[in-house]
Amino acid sequence: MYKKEISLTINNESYVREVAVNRTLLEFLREDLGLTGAKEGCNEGECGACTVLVDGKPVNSCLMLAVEADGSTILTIEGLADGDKLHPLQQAFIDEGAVQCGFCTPGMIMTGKAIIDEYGNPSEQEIRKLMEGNLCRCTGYTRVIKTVKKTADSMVENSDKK
Amino acid sequence: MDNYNVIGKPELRKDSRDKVTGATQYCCDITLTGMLHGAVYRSKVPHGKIQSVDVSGAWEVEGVRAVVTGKDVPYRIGRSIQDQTFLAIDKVRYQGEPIVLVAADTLEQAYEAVRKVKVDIEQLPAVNDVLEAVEENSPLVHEKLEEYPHIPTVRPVNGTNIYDHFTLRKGDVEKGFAEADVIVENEYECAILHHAAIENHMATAKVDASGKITVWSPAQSPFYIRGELSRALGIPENKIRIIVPPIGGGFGGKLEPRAEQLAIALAMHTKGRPVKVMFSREEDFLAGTVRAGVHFKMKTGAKKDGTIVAFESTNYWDSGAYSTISPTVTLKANVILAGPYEVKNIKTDGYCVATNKQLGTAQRGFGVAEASYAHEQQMDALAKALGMDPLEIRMKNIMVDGSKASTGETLFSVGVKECLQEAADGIGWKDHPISWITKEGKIRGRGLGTFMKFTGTPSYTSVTIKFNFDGTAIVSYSTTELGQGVGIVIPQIVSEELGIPLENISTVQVDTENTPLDKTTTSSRATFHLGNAAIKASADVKRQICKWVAFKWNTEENLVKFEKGGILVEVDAEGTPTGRTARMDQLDENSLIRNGEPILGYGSYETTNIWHKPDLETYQTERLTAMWFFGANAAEVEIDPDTGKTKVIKVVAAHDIGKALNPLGCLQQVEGGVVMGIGNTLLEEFIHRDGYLMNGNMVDFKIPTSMDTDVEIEMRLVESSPHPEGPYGAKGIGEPAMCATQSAVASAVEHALGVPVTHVPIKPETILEACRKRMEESK
Repeated sequence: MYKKEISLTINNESYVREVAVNRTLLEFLREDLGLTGAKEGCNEGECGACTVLVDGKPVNSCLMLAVEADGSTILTIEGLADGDKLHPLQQAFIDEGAVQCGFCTPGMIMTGKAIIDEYGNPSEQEIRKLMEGNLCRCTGYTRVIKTVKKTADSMVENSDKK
Repeated sequence: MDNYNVIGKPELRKDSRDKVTGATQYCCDITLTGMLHGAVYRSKVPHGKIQSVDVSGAWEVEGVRAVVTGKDVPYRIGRSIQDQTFLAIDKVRYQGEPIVLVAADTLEQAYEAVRKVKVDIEQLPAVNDVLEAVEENSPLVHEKLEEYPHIPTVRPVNGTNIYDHFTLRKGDVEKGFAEADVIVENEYECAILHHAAIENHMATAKVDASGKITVWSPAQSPFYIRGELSRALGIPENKIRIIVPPIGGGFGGKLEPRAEQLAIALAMHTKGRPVKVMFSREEDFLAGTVRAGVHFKMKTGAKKDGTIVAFESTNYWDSGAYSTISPTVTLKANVILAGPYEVKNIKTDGYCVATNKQLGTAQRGFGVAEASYAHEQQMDALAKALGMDPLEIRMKNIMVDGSKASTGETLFSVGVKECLQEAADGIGWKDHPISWITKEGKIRGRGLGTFMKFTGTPSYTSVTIKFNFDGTAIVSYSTTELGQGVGIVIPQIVSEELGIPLENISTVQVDTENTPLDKTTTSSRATFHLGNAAIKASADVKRQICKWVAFKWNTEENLVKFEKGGILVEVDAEGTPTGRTARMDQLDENSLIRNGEPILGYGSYETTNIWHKPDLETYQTERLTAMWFFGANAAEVEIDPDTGKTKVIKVVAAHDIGKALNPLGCLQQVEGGVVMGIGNTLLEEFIHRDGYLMNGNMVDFKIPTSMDTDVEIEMRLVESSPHPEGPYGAKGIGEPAMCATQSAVASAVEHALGVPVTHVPIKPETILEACRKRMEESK
């Protein structure tokens, strides 16, 4: 397969790699770089388990080619915490009991972060709509949605205080 | 009154930090040195004779290291009936059945090689419909079903597609119907559906030069799979090691060996190199396992006052191309098919049937959710026939302590009446009609659902506790973590029993070589069985600690007592405290155990001793199970008569939990279970045409999303009937969580529309048709 060199920033680190042009971003992250936090659930953009942020936007990395990500800045679940300090959303997923088997969790959290970044403090109904592309079979979504809402509320509150 | 430190507290699970940071290594995340990638050539047709298999093209692809066909691995598996080979040899029986395996350096090469495989199949007529499958002239899925070895409790019917015919006979059903003032007869069916865990099936296998097999697999029940493989391959159990990383959802779907035998078949031909076989989502739908479809014929007779006097059912379970554990699903559903109502005369005939479709297996409840839907529709039909309130007729017949089950046994620890009352109260049953039209022109309905289920018995499990000199403990067991939270509730029990902080307790990855024997992770059994074993293992640890502290204190072993909260107290011969004490979390500081005899606690729990073998013809017994589960749901739905769409407004879920050891974990199970139950009722359905699966992908097979689940869920954990044999009185919750949701939602739809729900999932077109009829009738 024809290969192409790409350079990109992932979790604040720069990478220059030669990659087959048919390789998906998900395969590139998981198999070439060993960043296995994003998961393959359906490989057709339906389940959202592979969600990562590309230039701040949530993307089903199973549907994007690695070469399309050339020059972009990518954030995966592995890069979300600040050292030992978890992102508020990660902490909230733990504290609110929004994690069960956890297979969908990295994708859920990345989508949740993108929602908070983009919309600030959307309503619970808006969060439901925006997270429709992340499937979960364990939690029934109740705690996931509440956790994103609660985190958005507290992040807005904290930024107001500053 | 409870006086626990850790039990009954909503403790947070221990594995969350790894899960929210992407650090958890699921099976798919594990890469081994020298690992090859496997791919599978699968049957494109549902039924046919294999005429030829040509793999020469596959060998020509660069990077191919092994190609395996059915004749290379002619090993038989099957828990009930050994009807399945690792790969199809002479015949294919379902679309997606594996025929050829390839291992290559890269997955791309493996897929390329699979594309080069040529298999010539003479297609046979597919057995697509379960009712046609039992007709005399039906084509046969298995020509000689009776020739396969099978367990003695399963009774295949020669020359038919019937894997098993289950029978239950209680009382005299003819006499019962003769006494009835009203008889309702209906038929109901449930579609085939998929567990759809977000993690697909997969396995990585390695075969050492000595022949020892190691498998990494998200297997729910690794010892069960080990047993199957050991028998199939003729390899002793200590030469098969199954390592189970955290599992990305199971729900029964990860019970059967699916990818394990394929990875092993390849690894037997790769000279020691490990082989990873990952199912794509499409493969998972086709060749994972499914919840069987079912067709119920139900007949219920009652007196004018609502007392049910007889119940009869014949039912047909569309269990697919191989039998797996399906006969047990048929059995479990038939035992409780009259519902948690005391009925003197019962006759059921359950047929577990072969078709050329996906393989039926257990799904969260072993047929009980389906059975609950059917028996609750019957209760609504009876209520209507008698002009009674649906709650009243249920209450009239509901089981209580001392009631006789369908098996003839006398029940104890029965909290279903309280649950039904709680569910009814929660939905405001008394205050509203069962159906009304909103100002916006939508139709609202309320419904009730109850269930009862038993846990598989006899059963066994075991726990070991390694107690370290620094006062921390490592707890080992082989119940797998599927997301249900066994990894927090067992440490809670050990913390409570040993009086050491929860954070000092860790658990071990399940591994058949290193963690102790356990039957299975199914049947909502973990807290009850493993919890009891953990209490015994803790007692063993305490005994050993007391012995060493006695040695250090220079006193007799029986003069050191372990007190609640983790205090060791020395007493004199009269039993009076001497004043010398030690705390469990300070043993090391006080030099009481370090460099002493290593402490390893062991506890086991098994239920053979309480189990009475049922009579195979009547299924009557003194005691069938270690534990019965009960619960009730109430639901309110809103139907849009213009679109036929049903929205669930509220579900009240009341569960006879005995004692909630971790209420947070219980609530998580129920929230997820209710939503899964809603999906089962309104969305999920495999659509087959002539044995071909038409919607085997995540776009067309719909499971609930966050948009489908904006439902008010009110949960009530009923603790009025603790189980006398359960740890702290606890019963299970995993399957119960969803067993009555389908029935309650279907009941609500029935009440809204005024017509019985005869098929789940309930499709918008069915609802539109019912609305149209109702409009015509009202004209």
